[in-house]
Amino acid sequence: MSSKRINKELIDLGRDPPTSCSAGPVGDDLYHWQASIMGPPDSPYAGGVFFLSIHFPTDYPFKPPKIQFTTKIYHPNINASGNICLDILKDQWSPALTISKVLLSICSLLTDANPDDPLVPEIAHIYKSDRAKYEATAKEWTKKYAV
Amino acid sequence: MSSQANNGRRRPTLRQMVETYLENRPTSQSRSSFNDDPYSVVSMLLNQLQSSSSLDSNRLDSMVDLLNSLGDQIDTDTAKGVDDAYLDQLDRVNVKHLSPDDTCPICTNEFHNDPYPLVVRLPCNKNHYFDLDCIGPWLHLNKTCPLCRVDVTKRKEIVLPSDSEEEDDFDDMYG
Repeated sequence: MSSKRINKELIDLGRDPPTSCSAGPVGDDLYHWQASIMGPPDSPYAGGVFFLSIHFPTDYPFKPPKIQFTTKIYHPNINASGNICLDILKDQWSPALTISKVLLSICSLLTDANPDDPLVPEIAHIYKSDRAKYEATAKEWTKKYAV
Repeated sequence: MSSQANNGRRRPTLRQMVETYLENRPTSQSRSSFNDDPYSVVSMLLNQLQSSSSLDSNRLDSMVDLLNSLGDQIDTDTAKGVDDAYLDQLDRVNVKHLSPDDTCPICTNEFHNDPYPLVVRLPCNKNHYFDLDCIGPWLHLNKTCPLCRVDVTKRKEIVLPSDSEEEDDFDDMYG
C-alpha cells in the first residue's frame, strides 16, 4: 500500500502544487524525497528557500514520514541537525495527513514558532525574552544559508 | 578459502541460536514461541552479534528478518489499539450511497474503484468512513480517528450504560 499511496501523493502534488512548497523523489527511490519551502513573507525567513529531506517508512501512512531540514535554519523548534519538533510528525501523526499538509504545517511553524515546546532551548529563550534579537539572527542565518 | 565456507556452515543459524536460548533459559515455559519476551531475545541477539567475529550475508539477512519480526512483535505487544472484535462491530457503509468521487482518507483511492469495497464508519462522526483494510491496521495500533483524533472506543463506553441501566455489570465495567 505504501508505494501506491506515495505515488498518488506525487501525482497530486504535480496536479495541484501548494503555493510555497515543492516535493519529489530524489533519483528513483520513491521512499526518499527532497522538498523545498519558501520562507513565509511575514517571517524572518522571507526570501530564503529551505530544503528538507523526506524518508517514508515502509508502513507509511500508518507511521509518519521522517522529515529533516537540510538547510541550516535558526528556529526554536528546529535543531542543528535539522530535526523538527512538530507533534504531527510524532504522536499526533494521522494516516489522513499527506506530505503536502505536513509541509504546510512546517510553513506555519516558521511563521509561528512554539517556544513552549522547544528543541533548542537557547533559541526559545531568546525568542521569548528578546524577540528583536531572535528575528535579527533568523534573518542573518536566512541570508547566509538559504538565499 | 574452503575452510571459510566450512566455518560458515558450522556456525549455528540465528534461528537455531534463538531456539537454543529459548530452550535453555530458566523462565522458559513453552520453547516454541518468541512471543513472550521479545526484549530479552533481542538483547541476546545483540550479545551474540558482539561476540561473533564476522557475519556472512546470509546470517546477516536472517538476523535482520528475525529482528524485524521481533520488532513487529514488540509493536503488537505494546499496541494501544483495538482488537478484531472492535473492527467487526463497526457500522458498514453501503458504497451505493456514497458519491462517485468519495475517497478513503488513508489510501486516497475512490471507494467506487474497488471491485469489492468494504467501507466502515467510525462512531465519532457519520462522515468519517474508511476502507476496512485501511482503518484496520491503523486502529490495531491507535484508538484515534485519523480525521478528528477522537478516541473511537470512548463513545461506546458512554452509550452502553445508558441503554442497559438494569444491568449492574456494565456500571462496574464502565463506571
